[in-house]
Amino acid sequence: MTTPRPENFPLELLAAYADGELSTEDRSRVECWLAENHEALEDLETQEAFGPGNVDLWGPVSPPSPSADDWIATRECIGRQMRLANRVRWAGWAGTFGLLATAATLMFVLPAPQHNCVDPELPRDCDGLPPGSIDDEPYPMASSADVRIISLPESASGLLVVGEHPLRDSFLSFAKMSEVQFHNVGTDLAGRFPEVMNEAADDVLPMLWAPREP
Amino acid sequence: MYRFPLLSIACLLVGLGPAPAEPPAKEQIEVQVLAILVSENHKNVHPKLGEFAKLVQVKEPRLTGFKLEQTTVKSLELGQSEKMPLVGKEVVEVTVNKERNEKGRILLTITPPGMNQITYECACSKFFSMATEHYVGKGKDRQQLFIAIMASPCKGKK
Repeated sequence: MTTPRPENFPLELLAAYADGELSTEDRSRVECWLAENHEALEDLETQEAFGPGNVDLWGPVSPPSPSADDWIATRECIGRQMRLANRVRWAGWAGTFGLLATAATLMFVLPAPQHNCVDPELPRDCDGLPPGSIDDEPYPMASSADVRIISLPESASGLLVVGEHPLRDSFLSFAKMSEVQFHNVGTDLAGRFPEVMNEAADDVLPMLWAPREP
Repeated sequence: MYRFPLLSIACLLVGLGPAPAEPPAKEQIEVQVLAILVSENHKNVHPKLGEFAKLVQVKEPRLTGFKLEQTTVKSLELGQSEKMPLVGKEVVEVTVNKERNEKGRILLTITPPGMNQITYECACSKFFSMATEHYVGKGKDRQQLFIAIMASPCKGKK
């Protein structure tokens, strides 16, 4: 294969070289060509100026990556708000029950009940997170212990994310003739009875075979 | 004068009294239904169907491919019926009879595709199987539907 000449050398190949996206073979091809065509070095510098290696250019506009400490702090904030929301919910029920019991007892003793309700204050010290509420709880994800699959096509068994195959790891054991007793065997829609495999040998399944279509 | 406070305390005591006893939980029978597609045009046998394949081939050696198509496990009460999916729109209706037999075994009444009712009793945790005359596919893709049904648990003889 001949090295492309300056007039037909694709600029995209030079740009890919500047961005470090070429294979070893293509890189050596471009470097050979650059060694013979020094006038293209200017184009290469221009391409490199806009490449990902120019931290001065792309750094100010790249999105900040949260540190491990940022993730831990965010997780703690969510957990604190969830605990508080649960506490508020239970506190509300307990308060309601207490008020009802007090009101029922005192209704006949005091002329008029008086009580003050004070709403607990949610912490607002988590920067960047809205005030806590039940709606802010993370979606609870089910584990395999929470899911029981009732019916499963075998073609989907390899696609399960959570949940176990309905058969789990059980071994399929088929009944022997001595373990099955027929009480009533119906016919097919044409009035024919199925064939009953009821030989005494244990190597024969006590199966029913539906009558063959003629 | 003291009637109203005493009445309110009595009402509270009545309200806080023990809850009425719940009715005993009904016995649950776990029924497993397998839909198996059997072919004479391939030799792939599902790992769980090796024993089944050997026993079927005693009668029909030409049947060599055994594919597990659908597995369904449901809990039924004694006397309850349920339609279990097989393949396509085909179902098998399974009824767990109200009474166990004298050995504590479960009696099942099944209505397979194209058949009337069949009633049988089977040892616990063992599958009973049946070859239906329902086929899927055509030509080399033609497969015969077999079903296997198991119910558990049994109870010891009382």
